[in-house]
This record gives sequence, C-alpha cells and structure tokens, in this order.
Amino acid sequence: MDLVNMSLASRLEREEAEDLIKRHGGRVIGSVSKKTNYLLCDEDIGGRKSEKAKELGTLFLSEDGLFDLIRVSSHAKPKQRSKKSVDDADVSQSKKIMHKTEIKSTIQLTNSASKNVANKSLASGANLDRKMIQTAQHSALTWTEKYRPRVPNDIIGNQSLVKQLHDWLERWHEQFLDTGNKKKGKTANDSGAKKAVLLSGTPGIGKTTSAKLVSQMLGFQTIEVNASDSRGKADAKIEKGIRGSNANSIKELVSNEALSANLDWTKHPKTVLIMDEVDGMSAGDRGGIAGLISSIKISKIPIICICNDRYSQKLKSLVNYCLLLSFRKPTKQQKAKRLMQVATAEGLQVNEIALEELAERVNGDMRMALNQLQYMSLSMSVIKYDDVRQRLLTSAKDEDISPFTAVDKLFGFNVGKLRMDERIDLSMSDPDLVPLLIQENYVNYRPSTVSKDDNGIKRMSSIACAAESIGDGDIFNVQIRKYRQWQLSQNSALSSCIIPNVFCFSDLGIEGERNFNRFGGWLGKNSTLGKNMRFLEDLHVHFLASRESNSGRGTLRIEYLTLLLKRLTEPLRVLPKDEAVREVVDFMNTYSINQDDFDTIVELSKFKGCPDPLGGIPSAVKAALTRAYKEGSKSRMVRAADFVSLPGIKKAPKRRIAAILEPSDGGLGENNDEVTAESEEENPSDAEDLEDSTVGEKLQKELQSLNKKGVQVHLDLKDSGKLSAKKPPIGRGKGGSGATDKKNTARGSGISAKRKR
Amino acid sequence: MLWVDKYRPKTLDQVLVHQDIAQNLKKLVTEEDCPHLLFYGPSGSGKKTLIMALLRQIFGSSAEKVKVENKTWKVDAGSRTIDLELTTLSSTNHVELSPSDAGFQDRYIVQEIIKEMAKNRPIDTKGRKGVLVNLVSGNAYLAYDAIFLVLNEVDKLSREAQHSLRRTMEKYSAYCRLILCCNSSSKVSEAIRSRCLNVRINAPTEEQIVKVLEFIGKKEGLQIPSGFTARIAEKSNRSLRRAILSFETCRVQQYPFTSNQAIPPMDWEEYIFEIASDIMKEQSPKRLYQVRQKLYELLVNCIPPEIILKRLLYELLKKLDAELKHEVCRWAAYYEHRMRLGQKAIFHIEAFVAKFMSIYKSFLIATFG
Amino acid sequence: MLFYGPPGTGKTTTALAIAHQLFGPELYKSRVLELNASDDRGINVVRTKIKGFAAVAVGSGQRQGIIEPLASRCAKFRFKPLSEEIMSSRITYICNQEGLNLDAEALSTISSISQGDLRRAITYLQSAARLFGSSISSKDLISVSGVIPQEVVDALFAACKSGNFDLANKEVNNVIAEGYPVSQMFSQLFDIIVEADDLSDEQKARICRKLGEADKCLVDGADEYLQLLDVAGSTMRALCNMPEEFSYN
Repeated sequence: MDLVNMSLASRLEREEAEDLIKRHGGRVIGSVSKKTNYLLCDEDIGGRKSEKAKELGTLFLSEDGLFDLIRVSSHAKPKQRSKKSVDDADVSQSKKIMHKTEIKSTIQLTNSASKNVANKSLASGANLDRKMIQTAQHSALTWTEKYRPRVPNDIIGNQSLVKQLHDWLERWHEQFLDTGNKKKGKTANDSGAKKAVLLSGTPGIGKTTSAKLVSQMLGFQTIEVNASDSRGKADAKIEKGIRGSNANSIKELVSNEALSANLDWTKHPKTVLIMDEVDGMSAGDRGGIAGLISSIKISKIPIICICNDRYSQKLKSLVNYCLLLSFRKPTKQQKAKRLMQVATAEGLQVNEIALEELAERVNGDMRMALNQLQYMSLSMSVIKYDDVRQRLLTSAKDEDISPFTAVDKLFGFNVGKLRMDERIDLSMSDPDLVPLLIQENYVNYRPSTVSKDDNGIKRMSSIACAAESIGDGDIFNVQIRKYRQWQLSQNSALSSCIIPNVFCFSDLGIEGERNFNRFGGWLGKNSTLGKNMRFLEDLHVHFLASRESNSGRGTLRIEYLTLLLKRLTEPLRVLPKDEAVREVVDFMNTYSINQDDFDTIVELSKFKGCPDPLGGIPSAVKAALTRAYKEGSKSRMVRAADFVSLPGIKKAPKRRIAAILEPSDGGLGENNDEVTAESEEENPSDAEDLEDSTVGEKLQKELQSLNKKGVQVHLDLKDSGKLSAKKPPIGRGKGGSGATDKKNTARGSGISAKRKR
Repeated sequence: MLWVDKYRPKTLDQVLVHQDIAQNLKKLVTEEDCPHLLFYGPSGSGKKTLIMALLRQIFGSSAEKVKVENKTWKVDAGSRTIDLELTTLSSTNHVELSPSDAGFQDRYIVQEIIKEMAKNRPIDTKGRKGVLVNLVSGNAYLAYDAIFLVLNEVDKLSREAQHSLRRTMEKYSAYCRLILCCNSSSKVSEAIRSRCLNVRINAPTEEQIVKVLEFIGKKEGLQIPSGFTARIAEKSNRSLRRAILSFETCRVQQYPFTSNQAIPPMDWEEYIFEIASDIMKEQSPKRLYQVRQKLYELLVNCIPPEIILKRLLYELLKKLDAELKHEVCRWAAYYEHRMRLGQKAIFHIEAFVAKFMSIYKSFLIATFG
Repeated sequence: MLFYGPPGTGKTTTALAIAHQLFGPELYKSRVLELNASDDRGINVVRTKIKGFAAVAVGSGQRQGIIEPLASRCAKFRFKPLSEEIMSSRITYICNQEGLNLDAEALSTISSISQGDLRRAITYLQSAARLFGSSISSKDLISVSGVIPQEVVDALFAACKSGNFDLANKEVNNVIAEGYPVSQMFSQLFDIIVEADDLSDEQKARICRKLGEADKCLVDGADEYLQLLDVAGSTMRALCNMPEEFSYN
C-alpha cells in the first residue's frame, strides 16, 4: 500500500504520520504515481499532487480515514505485517492526543489482537537461545564477507562505473605498454588515458569490492596496499613501504627494473596495484601522495586508488593523474532488495518496509546495513520496523548531535514525549551553542501552549517569560565559569534551553520566510564588539598621548565621538577642497588621529537605517585627504604612543613608549625631550614577531635609510635617556612589541595596542 | 582643538565651576600633607579636571608632561603566571591608570603597580616633603617624595580588587598617595572610603553651565542669541562636558546661530529614540526581533549596555502614562541589575524590552479594548 | 583572646597596647606578629607564621565571622560602640591639642555622623580641618563625611508622598547630580521611614524590604539611578497604598 503525504494535518505531524504508516506496513513516497493507493491530506487543498491524484483516480485519505485504515488492516493481516500489540498501542497512543473517548475501543482491539501473537519479548528470548546455538555452529563469517559480490552484477548500483573501470583496465596494457615510448608523452595529457584510476565515494558502497572484482574478472592479480601499511615518502618509494613478501615483485613491476631484460608479458601474471584509502595518508606517510604520483608516472602496471573524499586537499594533485570514478550511494530500494536476499538466505523474517528504513538510515553504507542486520538477527528471527528504528536510534545517540539537530528536536513536535533527562542531554550536547541557538530563534516560534490569543497578549507574555529565563541562564553561566560552580550546569541548561522551550515550542514551526533555525547571532556580534573595542582603545590611547584630553574610553565613545565625526567630516562637505583638507589634517594632528582612527570613528558611528557618516563627501576630496595626511607624515609632529620593539630577548615584557613632544620648559626631573617626528600609518604589522638578530639587522638598515631621508626621530626610552631610531608607520592590527634593552636600536612603530580582555 | 579641551582650566586658580573646592584643595596640598583622596560625582562634573589641576599645583608643569605607556606585568597568581597589560599615563611624579580595564584580574594590577612604585622609592625618605623652588617660574611648592597614583573608575573594581587596594594603601602609604576617581562612591567599599578624604564633586547647576558657555562664546567671538545657552544647558542634563560639546556641535552645524536652532543629540541617543518609538508603536515578536538587531548595532558600536538601558527607559518614560511608569522603572532596575550579574548584555536588554512590550500591550488592550 | 565589636572602637589599639605593655619596646618586634585581614595569606601562613608565636590576639568585626572552635578557645571581649559623651570628650581633647575650633552643634554632629566609630570621627575631624581650616562648622563636617543633608532626603520623601512620579524622578535626578552616594541615601531614608509616625507598619515593612533589596543590588554593582528610582517608585506606591504587583487583566 502506498501513500503520499501532502499537507500538514493538524493533529499529526508529518513525521509522526510517516512513522505510523510505515509501522503498519505502508510505504510513503514523495509524489503521486499510478501505483499510489492513497493521498493523505487534510482537505482538498489543491496543488500539483492533488491534481495529479484526481487525474489518476487515487483515493484521498483524511486523517481519520488513515486511522480507520490502520485499524482495519491491523485486524486483517496479523501474520506477515508487523501489526501487533505494540502497533495497536501506538495507534491508541497517537489517538490519545486527540480524542479520549476512543481509547476504550482501541484498548479492546489491543487486547484481542494480543492473543494472536506471541509476546515479543518472549519470542525474542526464545530466539536468542536458539540463535546463540546457531551462531556457535556457523562459521565465523560476517555477512559482509559472506555475501560479498562475486560478480559485477552483484554490486549494487554504480553499474556504469564498474563498466568504465572494467574497460579502463582492459585497455590499460595496450594503451600504456604496447605502444611503446612515443605515446608516453601524450598520454599524460590525454584525458581519457590515465594510468591510474581514482575511485571515490562514501564508505561501504562497493569501491574496493568493485576494484577487486573487476581485476579478477580480467585475470589480474591484485596487490593491495592500504592505510595500515606505511607509505611515506621517507620510505623513498612506495614499493619500499610495502611490507610482506610482495615487496620485491611490486618493485619490479612498478619500476620495471627486472622487465628491462624481458618484455614478455605473458610470462608474468598481470598485476594491478590497489592503493586503498589514499586520502588517509597521514603524517606518517608524509609525501606519500607525491611518491604515489611519481610511481604512477613510471609505473608499468595499472594502479587503482580508492578514497572517500575526492575533494580532499591531500588529493588535489593526485586527481590530475587519475581517471576519476565517483561512486554514488545506492538507492534504498536497491539496498533493500539485496538485504532481503541476504535475509531470506539467512532465514530471517524481515518486513520490507523495515529493510527500507534500515537502508535509508545507514546513509548509503551497505556494509553497515549488513552488519546491523546481522547484529539484529542474533537476538531475533523476525525483524520489524520498530526494531530497526530503535536499533538505529540507540546507535545514533552515540553519535554527535549537532546543535542544530538538538534545537530542532527540542522545538519539534515530539518534544512533549521527551523525558526531562533526554531534554537536558540535548541541551547539553553543546552547552555553548545550543543556548545561543535557542536565544536567536525562540522569538520566531509560534507557541502551541498559547491557544486563544487573538490580541497576542499571551504570546508576548510567554516570550517575556522565555526571555527572562534566558537571562537566568546567562547569570548561571557566569556563576559556573567565573566562580566555578559547576554544579549549576543543569540549572543553566534548564533555564537557557528547556524553559524557553516550554514557553515557545511550536508545532507550527518557525514563522516568516526563512523558516529554519538561524545561527546564534551573539557570537558574531560579540567578536565584532571585541574588535571595535580594540580600535576604540587605539583611538583612546592616541587621544591621551596627544595630551589634549584626559577622558576615559567610555566617555570618548559616548560624548566625544559625535562631535569628532562632525569636525572631521563637515569641513569636507562644506569647504572648498584644499582648505577643507588642511583643516581636517590639522585637527587630526592635534589629537593624533591617524587614518585608522579616522576609519574607526566613521565605523562606530554607523547605524543601520541612518545616513552614512561619509555621505555627501565627493571622493575626490576623500582622496585628497588621504594624500595630504600621508604627505604630512614626513614632518609630522604627532604625539603618539609608540611601540619600541627591541630585538633580542624573546619573552621580555613588552614596552610601548610614547614620544614626548613638548620642548622642555624647565621644571623638575624632566627627561630630555625633543621634537619627535612620527607618523603611524600603513605598515607591515610584523613588529610583534621580532626575535631574530636578522630582524635586528634589518631594523638597523631601515633606520639608516630613513635617517638618510632626513627624518629625525627621537624616542624617549624610559630607563635610558638616549634617543635614536625611527619607525615605519604601522597599520591596525597587531602592534609592535619590544624588549627592554639598553641598546638604542629602537624601532618605534605605530600603535594598535592589542588589549587582552 | 575641541572647545572642551581648549578651555579646560589647567590650574586650580583657573577653575570656573567649583571654585570653593578648588581653593580648599589648594590649601590642602600647600599647607598640609596630602592624604589619600577620593573624588566622586556624576560624569562631566569636572573631577578629572580638578585632579589634573591639583597635580599641577603640587608638581608644577611637569605634571602635564605625560607619557602614554602600555605596560605589561607578569604576575604570580598561585599556580600560574598571568600577563597583564594596561595603558598608563605617567609623568615624573604621578601615574594614572584605569585598573578596571583589566577585567577579572584588576586586583593584580592594583597590587603590582603599587608594589613596583614602592620598590622604586628610596626606603628611608618615607614620603617626606620639602620645599622646592622652581627657578624658572619662581613658584615655590612642596615636593613630595611619594608618587601620586591616580586610579580612575574605582567603582568598577571588583570586590577583591578593592580589598587588595585597601591593604596596599595601608602598607605603602608612605611611598604613594592615592587619588581615586569614581562616579558613584556607593560602589567603593567602606574600608577604602574611610581611608580617604572624600571630595564630592557635584554636577554644576544650569546657571553655572550657562556662565561657562557664555565665557567660551565670548572667547570664540560668537554671536549668541538669547536663551540659546540656556537651552543647551537644559539639554545637557547638568553635565558641563556635554554642554560644551553640544555647543560646539551647534557651531559646526550652523553658524550664525538661530535662536530656535535644533540642538542635536548624540548619534546613539537618536538611535535609541527610534528604538523607543518602534517599541511603542508595535509590540510583537517580529518587532522584538527587529529591535534586537538594532540593539546589537548599539552594542557593537561600543555603547555600554547600561547606558542603552537607561536611555531607553528615559525615552519610554517620556511617552508613558503615569500608572505604567512605576512598573517600567521597576523592571528596568531589575534587568539592569541582572545584566550586571550576567555577561551577555543583549539577553537582559531584550528581556526588558519583551517585558515592556508585554506590559504595554496588556495595558493598551485593557484600556482601549 | 578574642576582641570583637564594630569598627573604630579600639580593638586593634587595645591589642597593640597590651602587647607593648607586656613586652616592652625591645621584645615587641620578636614577640608580636600582626596579621591583617587583607594580608596575602592562606592556611600556610597561618600554620607557619602563627605557630611560631605564643600569644595571639585575635580581632574580629563580628562574632559570627569566627568559627565556633576558634571562638570557644578564646576569652571573648566585646567592644561596644562608643557613647556620645566619650566621643565628645575625646574629640574636644584633640581639638584643643590641634588648635581647632568646634561649636556645640558641630560636636554633636560629629558624634551622630560617626555612629560610635571613633576612628571615623577623628578622620572626619581631620578632613574637615584640612579642607576648611581651623574653624569647623556642622555643615563642613557633613560635607566631608558624605552624609546627605537632611533637606535633600526630606525633599525626596516628600515627592514620594505626593504620588507624582515625575516629581520623584526629578528629585532622584537631583540626588544623582549632586553626587550623593545612593547607599547613604538608602540608609537615611531608612531612618526616616522607621521613625515616621504617620505610616502604618505594613507600609514601613514594604518600603524597608525594597530598601534592603535595592541595597543588595547596589552591592552587586547595579546602576544607582535606576535603583534609587525604583525605590522611589515603590515608596510612592506604598505611601499611596497602590498595590504592590502590577496586573492588567
């Protein structure tokens, strides 16, 4: 029986409905065809599916109709299909959500049906005993081995690729060996004629099997090298890395040393080299890919490479030398068919739908499907849909649940059925991200808890409660991280994930156009904030250094910035170009504002929906400003905090020393101040990594060259009164670092203090 | 140069507002041994100006020659060493810094820097003073052997930091004098307050602000329509700094002044005004989501969250009916407090907005149906 | 020995005096160890250093701060807050020594604002002397101590009584602008509330509870303006008998 799900029934969620249908032996498909028996939808909604259905004469089924159908069929077919007490209980359970009156009747059904069928647990217990004896008697072959394809037709799916492989291998010798040397040059570039082939695809779909099978079919002897053999370049050539008695023959075959004497191929068996798990060449196999490539180039035998991820970085160069065959996952029907064959051969009774479910859930991995089937067969001889479901669910739990999945689950329809500890597990699957995802998205769910809410008050109130709970979560978090109160972790999960969820979970999903969970915006914003704070601090330090102002950083942003922006941009808008530029540059000099600070001021003043701070300024003027500022840097008397990076000591404390600009005017205890010229603009921000003496020399040379340009710079080092050095300007980003060193090869650079928070 | 900085008084004698405090301070440092000082008062009232003027009084113009340094310390904190970095302003006789910038580790800053200064002092002079005469200017003033340490924003220091500050104050008072500066002395621990001379710097009155503005106007040679400065003073919320900045903004905006010229607010203030309007117009989850994005804008542009919350409250209060005001204030205080306890400010501001929407919506429905 | 009592009542002084008396100046250094609450030390210091000494005088602010085993092994001496007469006489003595001039009002002010803490009283005296010279008035003392002038507190209270929120807001703004510490304001408001004759017990209870909560919030670092405004709002509601919780249904 085939059904097509169309619209969201109001009581049954789509997934629930699918579950139900599958459990009772129905099959759910995506589109209407002649074979479809029913179309499940609420009303006559219209749309393509229902149109087609009407055309084909498919029956329309409502929800109630579906339940009736299930009930009827559960009576009608007690044998093969997986209808049992468990299933009826399921039906009754889903019914419970809606109509309480019907329970009685279904329970009656349950009772009657249960008499017909042996209790599942009993059966499985008995089966288990039997199976144990059986397995002891059987050979220890796993089914994956036992039922490995023996002819290419046995391989599921990818038939055309197998054929391609076959053809390639067949023609290999005539292409690469018989034709002699002349073609060698061409073949490297000939797209159709590669000496090696690369089979790629997800695990368990038949790559190695195909390779071996095809080779055997064509009479080749296979030599396998996989990840468990070391294959590094350090072993000079691949052939050296191959352990075992094959080593010599490989070497001969690949490097053709022994064959130089004897070109009679018929004597030697044809050999093909299978390099399995090529993308698994790890650090120990360093240079392995390169070695492989060079071997391919000189090789006299075909080489089949197998990998999982064709697009992996490691294989980037390899792919040029190989014929690429990308294996695809077999469809679930194909797998299910094969599984059914295996099951029948093993005397296992399996529901077709269950096999399809199994096939679907293993993500294309036939090997895993067989293993799962074998495992299940150990404890039961009849396998139903639910068993498969359960089995795969338990194994899925051990996998990592991504935060997105966790949130989907928490907000999905089934959450009412999840126990509290399960919900906590979901929330704590990623204690950092899950709360952020929830915070990002809770607003957009239309809560199911709110029933009658015409004016939206209840919804708003729910949201307010959820928001407060999220705030609680934050406070818990601080306690946990800062004060190490780890015992509060569960409370944190509760308040940041589960309680908002209770207020806001929704059957109806997310409203709005983009109906999926958005990623937590807080992370991105926070890091932008950090970055902006650093820039603001740079600006602040310049301000302080200019000694015109003494304000704190906060004050700078809140009070000064608006006016600063105006002073920097208004003239550019209003005054004629040269005068404007001059005025602005003067202003910048007064406060040691450099180009980067200018940008910071503009950036921090940008608000969405508000006019651009730089709007209305012709670009010619902007360019003129940049030019003028740069020019001035040669003779600038800029007061700025500098880095003095002194080469040598690696871990000495960093010192950044400001240049003092005022000419001394007497007074106590002053250092020998002198006019200092500085500028701080674009510069390689490599200052922080100065360690080597080579850098020191480089600095020396720079200093000399700059001194030649006539730029006199005097720096005041705190402990030594002497001056020297210069610095090239520096851009934003990391600042320079210095080591205190009595030497005067100081190199000052511009600022951008990197604050650690 | 900005007017705020251009016309800032440099010496205690030049101080326009708070002349009485200035004179008292002058007496204090010239005649007596200067104790530890704590300056407190609202923002923009002139604390820093007074401190600088005070230092100048003590040390002469050398106090103005400050170097900006980014100092790092390696601190031994039990099991590990921490690297701390902080920007300091220092002259020969004083060091100024904001220890709260170091975040969690502010207490180490306090310990380390004072210890360092104590180490650099000769042990036996013990802060004795003598009289020195500046040969150039002819001023005679006291020379202190102690270094003056100016700490800003002490009300933001953690409790642990304040504890260690107190201890170091006791231990090293011979070698350094502390001048503490903060906005609200409630947050400075009792122990520290009792060890300092508390100087309260109140916000200037509107008349005083008007006087300053007119002084500046005259110096700049501006024609000011009557009542203009009064309007600026009123809008400044008794912050002299804000008033002068506004004044200059008006000047840049449009000169000659017109008597009803608009006095522009700060950029972020306008934005918050918009947000408040949005909230009042519609209260829905969709609107909440939009408001959240706008709040993010503000936060990312480095506006402190408590300022956002307070300003938002201010804008909302202007438009609300009397009965709601209590309630909204209550929730503002509640969420602001929680914001301090937490770390992700946006959560709490958003919770406040959600709460407000919820309350306001019910109010609207109940009142208007 | 365990000395306990509020600060500024002479615990440390007494202990040091005893030590001096017992050992004399020469032996003092080797026989007496002084450890303070904020000294860097943990259990190790206690073990190593303290063990080396025989007699230890322990000072404490509050009885409860000392654990039972410790307290039970000591002879306890309670230091009470000093009475007004004792304080006044000592203050007068100091004034005479320092050549200061204090009128009667100032003298009583100093006792009341220092609340039994002699150290604080002397500090206020010294600060006032420094800032205002040798002739000190009551007003000077108040400004130096950080106590809020009564008119200001009364104005706020009156605004709350009036039920006019905007008026209360204005007063709150004024308090903040003047820079008065809000924790001090709470404390003074508390005094007014407790002693008010025209308030019912329930009203008093409501307001005091709110004061306590707000004070805690201040300690946590909350914003002063918001907390004071909140307190003003709650006070207003209590005084005008508006319901505590808000509900619109």
